[in-house]
Amino acid sequence: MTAMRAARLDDVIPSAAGRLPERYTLTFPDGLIGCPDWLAFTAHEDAPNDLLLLDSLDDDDVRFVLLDARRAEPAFFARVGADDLARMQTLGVGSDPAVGVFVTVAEQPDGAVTANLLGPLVIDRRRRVGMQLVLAGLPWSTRHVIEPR
Amino acid sequence: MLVLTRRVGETLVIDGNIRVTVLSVDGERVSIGVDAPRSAPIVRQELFDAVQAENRLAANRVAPDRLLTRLGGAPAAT
Repeated sequence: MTAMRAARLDDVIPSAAGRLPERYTLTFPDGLIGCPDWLAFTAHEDAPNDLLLLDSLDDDDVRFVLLDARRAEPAFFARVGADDLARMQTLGVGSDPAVGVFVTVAEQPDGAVTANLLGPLVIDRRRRVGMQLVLAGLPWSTRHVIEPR
Repeated sequence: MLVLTRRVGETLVIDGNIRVTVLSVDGERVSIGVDAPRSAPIVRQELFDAVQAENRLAANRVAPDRLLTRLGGAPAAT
C-alpha cells in the first residue's frame, strides 16, 4: 500500500527543477530540529542539479546545501512509513508541485558526502516556508553515503 | 521534570489527547504504548539528537563550494 502511494507521489512531485524564483527568503517558523533560532534563510535554487543552498539570515556561520531527497536516495518515498508519508501529505507533498522534500548534505571528515535522510526538510517554494521532520523506521541513517570519498 | 509512578497497564494522558501506557517492564526495559494524533509526531530521543547533530555538521561553512561542485552544482555566490 505504501509503495503504491509512494509511486504516485513520485509521479506528482516535480524535481527541484522549478518555475520558481531562483533566490528568495525562506522561513522556518519552528526553526530546525534542535536549532530553534535558525528561522530565516536566503534560498538559492540550482534547479538543474536539484540543489538548494540556504544561507542563514540569523547566523552568518550557517549555510546548508540541500539536495532533492529522491536524488539522494531514489527509493526515499517508497520506504517512508505510512504515518510519516501522511504527515508530508498534509504539508502539500504530492499534491502541490511547489512543495518539495530536500535533505541536508555534508562532507564527512573522511571525505564522503552524506545525506541526512532521517531529517528531511519539506519546503513550500510558493509560500516560502519550510519545516524539518524527523522520520522513524527508515533503513537509512543521518549519514547516508551518496558519494564515497 | 514531572515524575509520576505508574504500574503496568496504567496510563497517562497528556494535553487531553495523547495517552501513554506502560505495557510491560522487563528488567531495565520498559515497553510503552503511545496513542497520539498524527499531528504529534513521536520519535525516540536518540533519533532527535542525531538529526540535531547532523544539522550542526551540515551547517558548517567549511568548503560549501567543494561540496556543491561534487554534487554537480556551481560554486556558491557570496
